[in-house]
Amino acid sequence: MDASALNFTDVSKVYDGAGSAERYALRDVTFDIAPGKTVAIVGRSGSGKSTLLHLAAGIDVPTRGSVAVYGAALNGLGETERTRLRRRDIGFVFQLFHLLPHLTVRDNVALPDLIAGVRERTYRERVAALLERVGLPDRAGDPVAGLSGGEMQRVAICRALLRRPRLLLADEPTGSLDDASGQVVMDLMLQMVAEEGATLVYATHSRELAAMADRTLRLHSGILEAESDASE
Amino acid sequence: MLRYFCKTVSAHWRTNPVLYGLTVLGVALGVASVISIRILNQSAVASFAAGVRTIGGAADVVVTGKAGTLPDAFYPLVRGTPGVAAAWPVFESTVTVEGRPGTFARLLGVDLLAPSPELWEALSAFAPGAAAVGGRGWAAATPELARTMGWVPGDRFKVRDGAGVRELRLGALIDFERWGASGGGRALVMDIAGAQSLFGGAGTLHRIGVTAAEGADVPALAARIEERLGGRVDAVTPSERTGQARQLLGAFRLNLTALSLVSLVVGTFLVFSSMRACLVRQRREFGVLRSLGSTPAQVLALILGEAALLGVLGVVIGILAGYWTAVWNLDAVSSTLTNVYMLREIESLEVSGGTLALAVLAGLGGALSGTLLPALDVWRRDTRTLLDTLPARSAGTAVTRTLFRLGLLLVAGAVGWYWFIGWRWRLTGFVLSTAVLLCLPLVTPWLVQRLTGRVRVPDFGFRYGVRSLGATLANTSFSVSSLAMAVCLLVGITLLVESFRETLVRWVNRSLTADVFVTATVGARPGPNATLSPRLVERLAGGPDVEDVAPLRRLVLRVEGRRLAVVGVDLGRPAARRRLALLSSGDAVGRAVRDRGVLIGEPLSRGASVTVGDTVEIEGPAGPVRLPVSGVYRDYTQGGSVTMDLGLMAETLGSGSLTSIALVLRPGADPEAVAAGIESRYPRDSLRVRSNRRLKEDIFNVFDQTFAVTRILQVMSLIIAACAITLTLLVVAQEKASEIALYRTLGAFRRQVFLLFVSKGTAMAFLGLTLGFAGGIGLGAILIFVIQKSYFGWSIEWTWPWLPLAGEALAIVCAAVLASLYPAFRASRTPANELCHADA
Repeated sequence: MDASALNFTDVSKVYDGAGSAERYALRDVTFDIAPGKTVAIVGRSGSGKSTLLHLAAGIDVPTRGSVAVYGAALNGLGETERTRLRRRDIGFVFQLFHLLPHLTVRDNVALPDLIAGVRERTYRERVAALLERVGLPDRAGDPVAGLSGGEMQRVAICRALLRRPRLLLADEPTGSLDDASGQVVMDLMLQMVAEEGATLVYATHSRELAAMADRTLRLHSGILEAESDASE
Repeated sequence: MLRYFCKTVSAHWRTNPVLYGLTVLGVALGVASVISIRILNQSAVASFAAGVRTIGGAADVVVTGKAGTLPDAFYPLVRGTPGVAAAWPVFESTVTVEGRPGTFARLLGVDLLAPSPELWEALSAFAPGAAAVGGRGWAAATPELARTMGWVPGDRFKVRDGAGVRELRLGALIDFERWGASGGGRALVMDIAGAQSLFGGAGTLHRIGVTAAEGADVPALAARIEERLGGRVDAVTPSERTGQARQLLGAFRLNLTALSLVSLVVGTFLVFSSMRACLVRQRREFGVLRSLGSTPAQVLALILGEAALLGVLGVVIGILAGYWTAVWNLDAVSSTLTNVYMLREIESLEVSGGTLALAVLAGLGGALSGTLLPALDVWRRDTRTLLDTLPARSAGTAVTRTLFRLGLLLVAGAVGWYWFIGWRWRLTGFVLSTAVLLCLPLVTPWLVQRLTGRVRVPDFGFRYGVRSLGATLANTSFSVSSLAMAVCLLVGITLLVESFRETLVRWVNRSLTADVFVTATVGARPGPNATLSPRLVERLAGGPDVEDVAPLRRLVLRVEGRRLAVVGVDLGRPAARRRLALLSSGDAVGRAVRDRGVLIGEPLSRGASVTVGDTVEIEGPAGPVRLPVSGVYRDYTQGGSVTMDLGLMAETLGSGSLTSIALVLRPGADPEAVAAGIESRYPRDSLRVRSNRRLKEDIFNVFDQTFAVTRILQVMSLIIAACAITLTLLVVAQEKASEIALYRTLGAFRRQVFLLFVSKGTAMAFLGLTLGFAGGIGLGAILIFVIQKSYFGWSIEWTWPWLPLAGEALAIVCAAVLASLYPAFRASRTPANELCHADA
């Protein structure tokens, strides 16, 4: 078994600010997440939560330091290799769901396999099983436009989990939902992640949702201020 | 708000100069394509009118002979007609300058002592003394001709006409047009007696120009002249001649009109889609403005203001580009005018106020109207929808189905109207063509929706690209329908031209069966007064290689009010029977011989509504003659012709010499050698001798040159295809940046996104091609079976020109793939975190 699911070592991300000033989105962040754990990243808006998730997903690269996913150092990988890693090992859930309106619920869930060139007969059952799991088996052929916010996020979770990623990243997954729906979605995501044996890292503003994680990382102005473990 | 407008416009320029530049370029290209063709068209028409002025001089009435030429003796009769203030005789020929093949000049012989004061004044100013100008070989040239040839006064030069080479001396350079006299851009003027003697037309005139006395009724004067000369002349006003020239140039002008239509489609499309591309980019910005309290009207004003600004820039650049495009194509159009129609070339480009107004209308109007629909869309949408990163589908099936039905109804209505009523009306073909063209954009959205919706998506490749086209239906439909309209025009015109050519090939092969053709000429061209002496015919017939001779006598006479060729042949010869492609049933030739009737060409039959059993009136030199019509044959001359037996011709229209003969050679004889031998043996006779192969080549050269301008169509279609696809895909790449980022986040490689966009471009090209081909076949049928028949009276046999059509299709698909590359590259560079920005 791998030593860690996600490892950040002295990671800084710097953007060009006004004039010649540099703006740190993350500064010297170091942490290590064990496989199968659920970790909440908390902090105010602009604290660097989303940047951290982008770096973890390999859709952005750190200015300094190293990021490793299940032992694969993202710094050393080119664009294509990072995409390949993302395709194989990483799932992503967005705050605004980002379902494609011209595809049905089923096709939206199947999209990652479609992109990966997997044959339909291979993923057909998996898609059906996931939709069954989130309680939307009857909506498979519907367009996504008719779904509620909670339902859309459940479809998005199915899409993220389709290829059995070892690392699931979620950026404010309940940010667009009311409290009740948010709670349902969060419960479901945690259960499914546990069933799949994946590692979950999610960003949230909510203390309640953060409390559901095994561990919490608190960011403030790009600096990792505190860590807490649910077992503590 | 004005300050915000200025800031935002300059910010847009700075942040996305490529797309903004493309937008202005799109508008400019649109304007340029519209006005370049219009400039050429107007300049050509002006040239036609100037050509008529050249032929007519500054005359109020031009008198020409019904038999083609006039005897000298008519001149005093015309001058003595009451109401004539002045009259001047003209001898005319067309010559080529020796050593400069393809450089034609109009040679005019005028009576320098005739009361044509302006001309006399012009000549006297440069070459005082009639003796000087009347000297043998003396000629005055236009400055343009002298400049082209590098001549200065005093130079000697040689010109060639059908009869041989003559040497002339340049006596003066005179800008005849400045003096309002007959001349033209490339003209040589000589004393009439010298011209007649040098160019073999002693005692012959080609026309007499007449100035009416002050206050005289010009049409009444023309009628008086005709009456005084016993109906043996035509006296027409310049406006009537302009009408005749327009008719003569019908096919050429139809080409230019088709080109104008294509350019209008191109222009409107480019302007429309350029503005749309620009607007899509700003959609979210408008959402933000709305959320900050801007009223929908303010947002609408911002959008239209920016469109107007881009439109103005595009119009300015487009006018300049259009003018230079016209200059660039001037030679091609000009050489067609001079070489095919023997009119003068276009000397200057006409940029009228109307053309500039059209440029502004196409550019600014197109930009504003192109912006209006998406702007109204922005105006009516709520703020939240504008801020959506992945907007929903734009049109429902109900809307697209209604449009589809409307399109079909339009075509069905037009066909029904044509079937029951419209066939009587000459312009009906254009109504049908418009219906077909308008049907295409109406049926496109539903077809795109249905076709793309049915595509199964097994992978993230070509078929996914096709399927996702339905998600951007408005953009896709617009692009596909524009492309379809361009392809439709291209295919329609290709079908017409190629079918016409193939029909002509069959007709020519059937009509021209002899081996060598010998025609008498006056000047460089055949004329009704150019005849072969009986002695020459006898000698040619007795040549060692000649097996048989087919005689032909050609007159140009007024038939049913039209000036047409009346051809006399020996109808008793089997070859003469074979060469006529008869449309009427039965033994029409036998009937003509038996009943002393004539056979008429299809254009005359249609134009004058005369058919078998009717009679035609031919105005012969001795007065009108009415003869029965025994048959109708295929004929591809302008206005048609009449064919009769030589014996009947001599009886009814007077006897005369043959104008040409066709020689059938003995087996094994070389037609080229025989033709060359005749030319060298009879250099003093004005003969044009051509082998069968050479004559056919000449015929098809004229045909190809007439339709050469249609090649611009192919280039334009490629431009449409490329621009339509590039702009649409750029719009899609902008509009769907979040979607592309999602693909990237979900593991799509850059090359996959790249190929996805190339697939979209290729799919759009195929959809446009399919629809365009369907429409083009319909348009081709209308052009061949309706427009050609009603305008020219020609029966054209339908041909499938597979090779040219396949070539065009391949070129369009290649253009589409190439056009997709840049948008595909841009789309593939969309970073995955673009989507996360939307979340932030």
